[in-house]
Amino acid sequence: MDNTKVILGPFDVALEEPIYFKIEPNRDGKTIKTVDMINGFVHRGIESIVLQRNFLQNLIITEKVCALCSNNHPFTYCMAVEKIAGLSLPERALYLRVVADEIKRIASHLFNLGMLSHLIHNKALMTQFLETREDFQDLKELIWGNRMDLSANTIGGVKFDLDAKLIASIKTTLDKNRSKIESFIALFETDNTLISRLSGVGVLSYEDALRLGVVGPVARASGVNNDVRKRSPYAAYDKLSFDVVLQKDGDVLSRAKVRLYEILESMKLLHQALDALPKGDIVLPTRTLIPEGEAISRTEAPRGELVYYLKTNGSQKPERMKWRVPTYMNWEALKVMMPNNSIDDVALIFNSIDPCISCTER
Amino acid sequence: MKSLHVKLNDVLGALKLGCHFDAQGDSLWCEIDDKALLLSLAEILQTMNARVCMITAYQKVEAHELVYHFDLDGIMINVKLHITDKSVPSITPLFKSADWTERELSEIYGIAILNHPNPKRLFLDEAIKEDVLKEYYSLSSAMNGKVSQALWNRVKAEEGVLHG
Repeated sequence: MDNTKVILGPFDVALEEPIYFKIEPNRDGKTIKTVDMINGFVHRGIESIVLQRNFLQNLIITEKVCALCSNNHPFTYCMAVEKIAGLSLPERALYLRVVADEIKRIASHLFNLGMLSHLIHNKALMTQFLETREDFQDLKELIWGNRMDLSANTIGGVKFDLDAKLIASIKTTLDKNRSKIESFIALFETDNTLISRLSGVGVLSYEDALRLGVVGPVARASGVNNDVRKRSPYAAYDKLSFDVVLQKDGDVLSRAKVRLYEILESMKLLHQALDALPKGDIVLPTRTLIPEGEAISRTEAPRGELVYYLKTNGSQKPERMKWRVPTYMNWEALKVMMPNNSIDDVALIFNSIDPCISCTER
Repeated sequence: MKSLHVKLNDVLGALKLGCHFDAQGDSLWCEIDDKALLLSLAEILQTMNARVCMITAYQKVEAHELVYHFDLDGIMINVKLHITDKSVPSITPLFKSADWTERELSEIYGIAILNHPNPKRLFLDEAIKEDVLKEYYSLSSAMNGKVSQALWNRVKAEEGVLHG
């Protein structure tokens, strides 16, 4: 074989987001020797833009960083502002924040699993995943009036409330889809075609996962538990019970299984949060001026830990605001996952970290 | 969590660092001026299996503040380093998790990262000069009316360069 480099990208690798893979094949010409990734095609300089806007305007800008994690960005940002201002939120708002986040997580995981099915050319399975996700999209539209950007959070609380009718709708959707998720799990646990296609692909060992500091389902599929909801609880998570899903193999199959089992945990969390929903206000009644200070906050986005740092100087604009998204940590791990795998599987392995280029190139 | 607080207090006491926990007790804030001390602290944190979550930089008049955010068993340790010469030693040889965030602060703030194993640009093309966060023009001004060199000169003259 000659030493032709394989170029994939910059467009249409898995998710129609731009990234450019430079792959050097092994001597067999079919497997990967080394991989390099070039990014920066859609870098937007949002960290500079937020310094020119006031705290309320930034609520909207952070929501636009990415669509799938669009609830976690303003959520984490609000937590940082609230820490600096010393606000303690009404209990009901904390529970409602959990509700919004877990519904988003279910829809996000199902989307990733749908893409996985698409990449292994299993169109029937993809249809089933995306049809299941549609129920949660409809639910979002019903509660927040929108299918992607919920605009659920505001500084000092949330912008939406749930009445008995909406709570019943959420529970109906959960009950309707629980058995579907269980049958997906059974499929991923027992179907030989799926298992042989996905197991052993894109392996990330426990040691490498620790060393690279990967987060979210990627870390948990390699046995590393750094679920922020448990390790550093926020909102109402310390009052609710759920299990952190861990797998050992660190391959594409494990990452898919982590997401599937996590959907069941999210359903558990939603039932508890809805049953225990405290009465009272959903947002603090008065607006507060944001004093000088600094704070760091983090949440568990569908893809993993999201971190915000905010520094204020008493004016109504941030002095410095920085955030780090989950994909940012998981990306470098691709250089460990990909070598010695088939070049055909680049998109599949890439999709298994649930990449978000929009988030990463903020 | 409580035993970790005690352990951290011991480590920080041994290095003679002034630190305080925030009100919720989940993040610790330290301030240092000495780059060598940063490396000593990083070495200790590395043996305790900490990971680097993020590094923030911002400009203060002619100096820079860097904040290193480490996670240690759910506690966020924020180490603030004050620098005046636009250079810091890399902690990537100790923490692979610091690789990207160091390269990014270098390309955005023009801070030299000494001894970084892979100091390539991360997002911005090599043709774009470093320290790019300093420059901000609003899109509406830049695109207002006829786009010509004259207009562009006026935009730059009127708006100047705003500090980010």
